[in-house]
Amino acid sequence: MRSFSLLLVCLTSFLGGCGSDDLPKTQDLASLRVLALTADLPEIGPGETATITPLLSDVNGIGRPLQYSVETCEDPGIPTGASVSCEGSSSRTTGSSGTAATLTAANAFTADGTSFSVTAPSSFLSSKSAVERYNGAILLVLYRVSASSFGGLPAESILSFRRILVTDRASALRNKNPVLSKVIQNGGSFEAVPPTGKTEVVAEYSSSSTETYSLYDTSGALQSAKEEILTSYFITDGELDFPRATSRPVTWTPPQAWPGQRAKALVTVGRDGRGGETHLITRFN
Amino acid sequence: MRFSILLGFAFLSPGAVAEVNPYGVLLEKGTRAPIAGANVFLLPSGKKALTGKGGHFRIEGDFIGPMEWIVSVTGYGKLKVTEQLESGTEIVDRTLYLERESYTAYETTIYGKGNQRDGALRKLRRSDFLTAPGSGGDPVKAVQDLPGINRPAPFSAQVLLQGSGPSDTRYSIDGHEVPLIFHFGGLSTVLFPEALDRVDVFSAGYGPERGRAGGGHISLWTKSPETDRTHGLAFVDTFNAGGLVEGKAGEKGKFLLSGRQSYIGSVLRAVLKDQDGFDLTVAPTYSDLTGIYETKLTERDDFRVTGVFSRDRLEFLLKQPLDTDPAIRGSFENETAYFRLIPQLEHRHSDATVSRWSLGMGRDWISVDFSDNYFKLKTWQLSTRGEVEHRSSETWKSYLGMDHRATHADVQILAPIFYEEGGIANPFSLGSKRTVSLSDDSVQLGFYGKGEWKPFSPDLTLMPGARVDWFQRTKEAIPVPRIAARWEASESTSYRAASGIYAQPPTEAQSDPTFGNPRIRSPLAYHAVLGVDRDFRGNASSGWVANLDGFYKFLDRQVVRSVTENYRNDGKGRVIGAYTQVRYEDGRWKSALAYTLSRSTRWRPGQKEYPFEYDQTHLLGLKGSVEFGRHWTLSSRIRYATGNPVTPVTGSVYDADNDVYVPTRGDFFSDRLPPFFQTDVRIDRRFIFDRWILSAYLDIQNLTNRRNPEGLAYSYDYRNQTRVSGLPVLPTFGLKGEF
Repeated sequence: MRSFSLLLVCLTSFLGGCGSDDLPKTQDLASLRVLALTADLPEIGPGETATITPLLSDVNGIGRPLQYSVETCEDPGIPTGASVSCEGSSSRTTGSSGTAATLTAANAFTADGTSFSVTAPSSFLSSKSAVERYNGAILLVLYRVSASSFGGLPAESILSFRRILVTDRASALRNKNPVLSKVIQNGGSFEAVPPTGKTEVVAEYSSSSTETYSLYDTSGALQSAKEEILTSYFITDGELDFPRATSRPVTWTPPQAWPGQRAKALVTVGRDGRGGETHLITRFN
Repeated sequence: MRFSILLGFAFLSPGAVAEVNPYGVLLEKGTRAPIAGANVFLLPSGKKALTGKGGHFRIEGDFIGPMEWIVSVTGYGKLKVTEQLESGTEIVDRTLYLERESYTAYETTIYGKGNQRDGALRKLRRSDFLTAPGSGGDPVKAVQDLPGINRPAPFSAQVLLQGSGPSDTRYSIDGHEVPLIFHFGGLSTVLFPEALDRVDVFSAGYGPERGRAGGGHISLWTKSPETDRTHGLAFVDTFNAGGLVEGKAGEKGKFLLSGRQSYIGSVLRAVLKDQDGFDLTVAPTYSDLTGIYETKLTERDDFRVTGVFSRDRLEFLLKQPLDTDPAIRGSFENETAYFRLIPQLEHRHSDATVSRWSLGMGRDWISVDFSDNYFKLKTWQLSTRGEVEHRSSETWKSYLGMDHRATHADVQILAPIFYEEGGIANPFSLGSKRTVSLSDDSVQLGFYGKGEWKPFSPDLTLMPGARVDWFQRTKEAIPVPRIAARWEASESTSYRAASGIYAQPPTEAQSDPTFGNPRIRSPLAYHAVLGVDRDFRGNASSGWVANLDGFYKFLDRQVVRSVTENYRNDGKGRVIGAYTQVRYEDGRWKSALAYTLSRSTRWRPGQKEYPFEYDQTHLLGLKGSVEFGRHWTLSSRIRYATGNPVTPVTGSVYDADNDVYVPTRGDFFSDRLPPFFQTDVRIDRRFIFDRWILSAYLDIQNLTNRRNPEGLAYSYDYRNQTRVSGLPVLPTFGLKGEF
C-alpha cells in the first residue's frame, strides 16, 4: 500500500537517523567536500549561459592541489532511478577543467572554487510539449573535483551535480537565487573572533528571496506554490545540534580549544528547493 | 486443593419434614462449563448420582448429619466437600465446582488432517496462538513463527510466505479481503484474539477458491459465539486494554462484541520526551471493534454477520529536517482506518448440496501527510463470495464459486516519485513531485470450479480445479489451473501434492499513469508443493508428530522499477525450499521444532541472479512449554534465521541542489547481515476462582538483550555505515480476567 510505503520510508529514515550517532555528521567539515554549486542563473532559456561557482572544503587536505572537470547533458531520469551520469547521452558535452580552488589555512581550507560556465543548447526544448517547455527540462551539470596523492593522503575524487532548469518562461517569471543577507549570532552580528560559548545561529534572507511560482500539474492545470528556503550549516570546529533548518536557529557549541594553526569557519548555504542557491562563509582567526 | 460452595443453601419449607433430597449442578471451576456424565457421591451413604446434560444431578434418600460430597473425573482435581445436613431440610441445592488440572490447551499446527479441502492449508487454532511464547497471544504473529514463513523485518506488518514478497500475501477476515491485518508497525492483529476461531494459512499450491496473490493468503475466521451463558473477559497490558462479551441474543441468536484501545503512544511519549528534534504529538494509537451476530433463520439456513472496525493513528513533528534527507521535515501524520460489514448465509439445499454466500461491504480511509506531501485515499469496498458445494456421489464432490471485488476510490496525492532498488532508497529530495487527484472505479472478477474425486479408493483424493480472474485495471482475463492430491497411506501417514498458477494484479501505484505504468501486466507465479504428515503417536496421547514439505515456485512477469517507464514486467524469480516441523507432547511438556531450508532469488534482463531481499537460507524455531502445578506455565521460543541479504553501497554522488548524497548501488543483495538469534520467555499464572479466572503473564522478548542487526544506517555521504539493531529486551506484563 502506498501510504504505508511512505510511512515506512519516513520512519525508516528517521530511525536510521536516530541510529547514526556514531557516524560522521554532515555538518562537520573534514574530508574533501563540495558544499554547493551556486549558479548565477538557476533557470535559463535555450542557448543561454549560466555561471556556476563551486563551494569547496578540504579541512583535512592540508592544502593539497585540487583539479576539477565538468560535463553536461540532459537529465537521464535521476528522479526515476537513472544513474547520475552523462555516459551514453547524445546531449553530453565536456566543459572546462583545471585548478578547482586554492584552499589554505588562512581560509580554513574552505572557499569558493573556480567558476565555470555552462550553456543550454538552443534546441534543448525543441522536442518538448508546451507544458514541458513551461515547467522546464533539466540540464544536468556534473562537477568532479579530484586530488592526487599528497603528503601521505591517498588520491580522492568527488562527483557532484546540480541542475539548471531550462524553460521558455519569460525572464521575469524565472527562478532567482535567494539572497542571504547575514548570519546572526545570538541575535547580533558575529565578532571577528570565534564564539566562546554556546551560540544560536540563524540565517537571515532578504524578503524577496521566497518566491511564488507556478507549474502545470499532470492534469494540465496551472498550480502555484511558494518556495521555502532551507538553510544548511557547516562548521570546521565544535558541534552543531542540527545541520539544517528552515527558519529556526541551530546551536553551535564551540570546541574546548580552537585550533591555532588555521582559520575557523561557519558556512551557511541557503536553497530554495528549485535550484536557487546562495552561501556565506563566516571565518574566524 | 480447596473447594468451596459458592451458592448458598436453598431451604424450602423450613422445619416441615425430615427427609433430604439433595440436588444440584456440577460445573467446571472458573469457566462454569457444565460437567456431564460424572458420578457425584454423597458419603457416608454411598449414594451417588450421574450428572446429566447441563451437569445436573439429584440424589434420592434421607440424609442427616455430617456428609461429604466426592467427585472424581479424569482431567480434574478430586472434589471433596463436607457439610452438615440438618434435620428438617427437605431439599438442598448444591453447586459444586470442579477444578480442571490444566486450563492451558496448548496445541501446535495441524497439518492436513481430516477432511481438509485444500492441500496447502495450515490451520492455527485459538489455543495455539493464545499461549504461544513470543507472540503475546497474537494470532498473526504466531503465524510468523510457522515453518516456511520467512522472518519479517522488525515493525513489519507483513507475513512472508515461502520466499515470496510482502505484497504477495493477501489478508482476509471471514473470507473478505481487508487492507491490513496488523495495527501500526505489526504491533497487534486488528482482531481481538479471543474473537477468532482460527487463522488459515494458504501457502504454495493453494486451491482455486482464492486468487490474486502470488504467495498465498492469510485468512482470519471469527468464532461462533458461546451460548451456554454470557461470557466476558477484560485485559490490560503494557500497550493496550480491551474487553469482550458474548452470549445469547434472543431465542435463536448469539452475539459477540469486543474492542481494544492502545495507549502505547503515551508510553512512547514518555520515553521519547527528551529526544531533541522530535515531538511525538499523537500516538501511535490504535483501536478496533469486532461484532458478531449469528442466528439460525430456518432449519436449512444459518445466518451470521461480522462487523470489524480498525483505526491507527500516528503524528509526530520533526523540529528540524532529517540529517540524511532534508525533504523529510516538519509534521508527519498518518491515519489508517477501515470497517467491514460481512453478512454470511449458508443454505442447505439438500443432504448433498450446500451453498454459501457472503458480502464484504465497507470503507477504507488512508491518509499520510508529511512536510508538504500528502496521500489521501478514501475507498468504498464491495466484495462478494458465493459457492455451491454438491456431492454427486461417494466419490465426487464439486465446488463452483465466485470471488469478486469492486472498489470506488477517491485519491489525492502530492508526492515525489520515489525510487528504491536493492533495498536502498534514494533521498526523497531527489524525486520530482507529482500531483494526482482522481476518482476511480476498479472491478476484479473471479470464478472458480473444483472437484474432489476419490477415483480408486477412499484414501486417495484428487482435487482438480481452475480459476478465471478478470482485472479491469489491466484489462486481463487470466485462466489458471490448480490441482491437488491427498493420499491417506495409513492411519498415521498421509501424503500431499499440489500445483497451480497464480495471477496477482499489480498494485494501484504500479499501474497508475502518473506514478506507475498503465501498460503493466499481472505477475504470475507457478507453484508446486509436496508434503508428508506422520503421526507417530498411534492411539496414545503423547509422542511425536512430524511433517515434511518441499516447495518450488517460479515467478514470471514480476514488476520491477524502470527508469523510462517507472515499472516494467521484466522481473523473474524462483524459490525452492523444504521445511519440517517435529512436535512432541508428553503430559505437561509440549515442544515443537521447526526448520526451513530455502533459497529465493530474482533476476532481470542484463543482471545476474541475486538473492531476494528476504532470502533466509536457514530458519530454525524451537518452542516449548511446561506446566508446573498450581496453574503455572513456563514457555519459551528460540529463533535463529540467516541474516537478510543487503546491497552494498559502492559510493555516492552529491546533489548540490538538495544537499543530499545519491547512493551508488553494488550488486543487488550480494552481502548479508549477520544471523538473527532471539530467545523469548513467557510465564503464565492462572488464578481459578469459582466463577471466573484471573490470568497474569510476563512475556519477555529478546531475553538475552542480543543486538540483532536488522539493517544498515549510512553516514550522510554513504562512506560509513553502522548496523541498526532490533528490539532490546522487551518485557510485557498483562492481566486478563474472564468469566
